[in-house]
Amino acid sequence: MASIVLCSKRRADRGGSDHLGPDLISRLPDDVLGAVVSLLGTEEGARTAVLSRRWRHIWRSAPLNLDDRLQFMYTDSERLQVISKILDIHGGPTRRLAFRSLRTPSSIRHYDDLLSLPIFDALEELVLHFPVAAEHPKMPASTLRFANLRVMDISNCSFPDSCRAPSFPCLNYLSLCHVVITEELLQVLISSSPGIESLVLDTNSGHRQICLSLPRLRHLAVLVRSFRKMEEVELENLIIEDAASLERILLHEANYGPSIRIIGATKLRMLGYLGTGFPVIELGNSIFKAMVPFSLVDQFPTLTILALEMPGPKLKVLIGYLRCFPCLEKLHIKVPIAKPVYL
Amino acid sequence: MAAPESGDGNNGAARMVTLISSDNTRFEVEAAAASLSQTLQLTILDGGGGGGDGIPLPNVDSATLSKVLEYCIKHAPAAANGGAPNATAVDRAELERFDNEFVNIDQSVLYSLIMAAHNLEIEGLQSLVAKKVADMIKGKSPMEIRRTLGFPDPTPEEQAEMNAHMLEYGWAYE
Repeated sequence: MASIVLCSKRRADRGGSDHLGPDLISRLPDDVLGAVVSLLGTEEGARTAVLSRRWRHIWRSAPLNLDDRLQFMYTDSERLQVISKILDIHGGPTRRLAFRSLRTPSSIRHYDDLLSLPIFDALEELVLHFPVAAEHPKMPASTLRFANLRVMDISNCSFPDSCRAPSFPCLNYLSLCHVVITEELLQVLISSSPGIESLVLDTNSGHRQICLSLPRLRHLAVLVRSFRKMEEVELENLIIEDAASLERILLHEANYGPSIRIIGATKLRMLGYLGTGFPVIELGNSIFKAMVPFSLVDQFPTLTILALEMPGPKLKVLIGYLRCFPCLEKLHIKVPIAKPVYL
Repeated sequence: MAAPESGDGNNGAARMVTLISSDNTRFEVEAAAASLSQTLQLTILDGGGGGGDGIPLPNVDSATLSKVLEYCIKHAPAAANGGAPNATAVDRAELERFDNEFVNIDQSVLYSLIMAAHNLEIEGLQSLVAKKVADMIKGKSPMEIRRTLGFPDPTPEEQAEMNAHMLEYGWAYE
């Protein structure tokens, strides 16, 4: 029985032996090895070039995964030097770019120049974290130029006031953390990315309301942390108009949650934490006000995991939830620690 | 991904196609499963592979084809649902378990599988096997990778080349 496949594809062996040596992986075509190398970290990918002559050019011919998490000990200027060396040697194109290790405002100013380089034109994944600062630095408009993005993860910055309407038809994952973005721009950003499956909105400001209509959205995480600055505009209303695919809603810091309305959540499996900090929660026609079940019209038999935050287990309230979620398998209750009283 | 119709509408019976391996073994499989292969999809949409005809695959032996089809059959229902929206989390977890177990194989089988996935253009399988090879490389020194992949020991000449290269790419070895 023939057990050797694709003889025509194999290069003639040294010595013409038909025996498949143990080092089979190196015989794979360049683009297959390239796909492998592109999954490795920046330094690890480059190190494959040392393996053998066969591997020498693979890293440079494969799409670059450039992550500035290189050596921890680097200063910003050393890091920028290595980055420019990598860009020189590799030459692109780049599949993934992650800038999150630069620490000083003067280094951050290089973001605009870097992001404008043609080597990043076909970028699919972008991680852009600014260093924590009292005042959020402005995100350069060049950040929003990548039409092929599948993953976008941005934190600690302020979106530009005016920019070309962003469009991310391939976007699958969006995470915005500690960013300032106007309601108008956020709405455009989300509605121009209909393929989003996972969305993380963590302590952002500059908008009071978000209205999501994302038919593929499966996972949603919303965090509103407790250190509120009164002068900032923060999220007060979250409306999910099309929750057809929504499976998990993760809510944190329940003391300061927004009001939430979710329509058509027929697949919801996990919800929580719900706490008194969420003024109104509407699931279909069932309504909870400050956590207390107010109107229990719709039931959600798909929901199996629920997390609540309440000062003490209140039986009546709990029974309301159990009625709304009849197929519950796991119920988490978080009891906030009472503030200590010093005499 | 767009998937062709899984049945032909006659009494709900799924349409079957026949694939013929390089060693002349015939495999009868649902058209929807075989259509995960971009290479086969057009032929199948054109009505090929049905009846006594069969689609010959001169590059894939029967052991490999049977493995490939095991993957396709397992993944066809989720693909037919257009991927994520209709698959439940439980289905996805089950597929992930299957995938992990599926690539737990020795290197010669893995090699044949990678070549078949590549030639038949089965997107999900291509990513799965690429990730498997990347995992074999991750966290290892060049010498450890050479050993894992079964390279012979480097000749002094090769060793000198490796050293020179390491100097040139110093930043990658800090």
